[in-house]
Amino acid sequence: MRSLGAVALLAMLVLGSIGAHAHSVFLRASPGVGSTVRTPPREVVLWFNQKLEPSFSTVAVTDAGGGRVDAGGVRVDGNVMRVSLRPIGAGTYGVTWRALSVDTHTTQGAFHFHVRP
Amino acid sequence: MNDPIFAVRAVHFAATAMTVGVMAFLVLVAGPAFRAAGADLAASEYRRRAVRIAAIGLAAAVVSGAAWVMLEAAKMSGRPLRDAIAEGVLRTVLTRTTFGLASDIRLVLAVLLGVSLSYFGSRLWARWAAPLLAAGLLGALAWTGHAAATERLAGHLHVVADALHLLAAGTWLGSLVALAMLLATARRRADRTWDHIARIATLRFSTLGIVGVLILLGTGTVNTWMLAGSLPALLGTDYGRLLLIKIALFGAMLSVAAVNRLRLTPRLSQPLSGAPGNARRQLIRNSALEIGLGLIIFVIVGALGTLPPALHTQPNWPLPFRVSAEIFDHPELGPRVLTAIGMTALGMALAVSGLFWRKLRWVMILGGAAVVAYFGRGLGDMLTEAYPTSFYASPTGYTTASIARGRHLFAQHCSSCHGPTGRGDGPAAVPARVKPSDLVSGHIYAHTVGDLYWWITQGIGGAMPGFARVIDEDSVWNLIDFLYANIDGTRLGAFAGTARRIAYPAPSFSLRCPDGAALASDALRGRVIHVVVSGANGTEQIARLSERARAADVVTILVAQDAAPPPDPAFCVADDANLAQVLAIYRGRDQIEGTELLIDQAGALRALWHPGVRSPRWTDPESFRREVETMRRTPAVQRSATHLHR
Repeated sequence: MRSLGAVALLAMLVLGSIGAHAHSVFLRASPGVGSTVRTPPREVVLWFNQKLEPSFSTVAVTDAGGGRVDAGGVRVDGNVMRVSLRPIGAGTYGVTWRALSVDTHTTQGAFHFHVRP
Repeated sequence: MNDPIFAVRAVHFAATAMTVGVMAFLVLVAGPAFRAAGADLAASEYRRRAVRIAAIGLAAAVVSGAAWVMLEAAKMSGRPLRDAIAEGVLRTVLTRTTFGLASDIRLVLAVLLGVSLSYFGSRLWARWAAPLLAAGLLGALAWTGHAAATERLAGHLHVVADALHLLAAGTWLGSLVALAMLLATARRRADRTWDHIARIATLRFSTLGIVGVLILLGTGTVNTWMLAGSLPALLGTDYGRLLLIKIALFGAMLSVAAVNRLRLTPRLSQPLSGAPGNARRQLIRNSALEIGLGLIIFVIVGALGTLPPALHTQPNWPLPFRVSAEIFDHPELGPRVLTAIGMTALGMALAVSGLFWRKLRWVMILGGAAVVAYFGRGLGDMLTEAYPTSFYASPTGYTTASIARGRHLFAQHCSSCHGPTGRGDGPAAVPARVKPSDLVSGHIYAHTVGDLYWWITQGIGGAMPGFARVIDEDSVWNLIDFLYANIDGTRLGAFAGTARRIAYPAPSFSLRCPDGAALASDALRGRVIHVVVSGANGTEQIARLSERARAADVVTILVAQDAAPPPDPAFCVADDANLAQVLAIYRGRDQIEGTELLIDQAGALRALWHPGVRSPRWTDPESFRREVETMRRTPAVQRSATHLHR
């Protein structure tokens, strides 16, 4: 029992400093949410706070007219999800994503970014 | 809550727990009890019935488990159940996801367990294999839940804690079923051998129960910390409140168990006629009560797994006050509050020890109460007003886009009263009855972002109108980001050129480095970042940048002010049109040529420099290196209202 207590105490100390999470929360993106970039990006990258299931996580990037500008084929590596873009010009683009975390919970969201050379 | 997964999970957890508990009871409790009474468990009718119950539990677990996997496949793919099963989604779930792989392994364990159960009476290996397989079947559930998604070391701890928690809970609850069955049999048989078996089994069960409860307490604490993590999350979210109900039910089960252990179990061995029989009847009833409470807990567990953990939802704080962490840094109130806490604790200790000391009992209790009454009032200083949104977290990530948008919103909605730079000196401020708040005076640091959110949306008494109907939720967070950037800028500007010991969070912006990689600035944590806006004397400044970067070991990021290509391809370029606007906020002016920022290894903005600063001159590599070194050496503290002047 003593060692159990020690483990529990250790766990509390470690966890307190790590700051635990258990859900795939969207952290940030490149291009950033609502941001304006000068150079047209070649890909959209999304960062989450934890591991994603590659099989059911998706990203779609559309232009102002609703046409798809991503090249398809989302790549998931741990907690990062990325999709390549076809050559795009100035304008406003919408990113819609759906992320399945390994705890089986789905989160989704959408944001815009602007390209203004 | 109307998710069918919630019901299926509850059934699956309860059925699996029953299987495991009955197995554990047979091996750890009934077996030794039968041996001590000189009876043979393997040949008994009781053993046959207990194994049958375990088999029924297993069958229910397999059926509910299969239903769970199918529902989960539909949820994961976002398709209707029928399509999800028909179109290969199920196969992807079973072969490509953590949940699916855990389910595969658990199915294999279930099949092996079924085989072991059918040989349980006749083969020794089956008597060992069955409880172990059952434990694996239950413990592996830890990989299907929230714990599996926790990262790194914490993730391993969380999975271990979760698996132990499941095993302890299942063993305790399932064993209760087996114990109730055994006590009922003993009552029916009413002979000396069964009295003996019942007594020893009850004693052994209470040992098992105590171990189980201790494990549940320890692992439950870890899990609560991992998934709720804070008082606001516990009190202010559905997940947290459900968890509190679950803990309360656990407390109720514990009280019943304590009555069983402390009052009824000893009476089983009293030779007085009638006492063991009564005690046994009450034990059966109490076990049924505990099983009932346990089933409610399983329903809650079923629901908890389908809710987002408390950490990931905005908590609605239910109390009108909160404890202020700031107060402990206050030069006068801080020590006073600490004294109040210490003396109140001392007074309470005095009063409690009075209970155990008959001679001076009343003196001590009254003395203690007087001390508590006198110093306890000081505890009030610790509390500060709070609102339902006080513990909301900002979802913006403090990006330059958010701050820039907040700047625009501020000019539009706030500056008429608060002034263009937030000093409370807007044109509408003069006739106002209550002077608008000076938003750069530092009191902003004393509030949570959630407090600011409340005031902006709901207003402040008669002093400020609420803007909930005027601007949307995102805009409120953008405004709050601007308020912080604005006040941080005044502090950084007042000490321009010198690294501060206060950590001003650096805004997050996107950049491109010479290798073509697109990055978010947060990805550079661990390096010191030097942000430079090329100035009027640009060429000279840029010419020495490489030298400065080498001397001070920093990552240099050029801010592109216009569409011109970067002057030097050796540096990363902030490809972020909003960054210039944020720099304009920091500078308090739109001309930002030559402005430089230093961001430390931890991602804190520590210093701002501009060409107007004569000393130290950052353009000189040696002065620059010294400043960076000082910054690296001195750790920074969180900004707060009380140490503004460091």
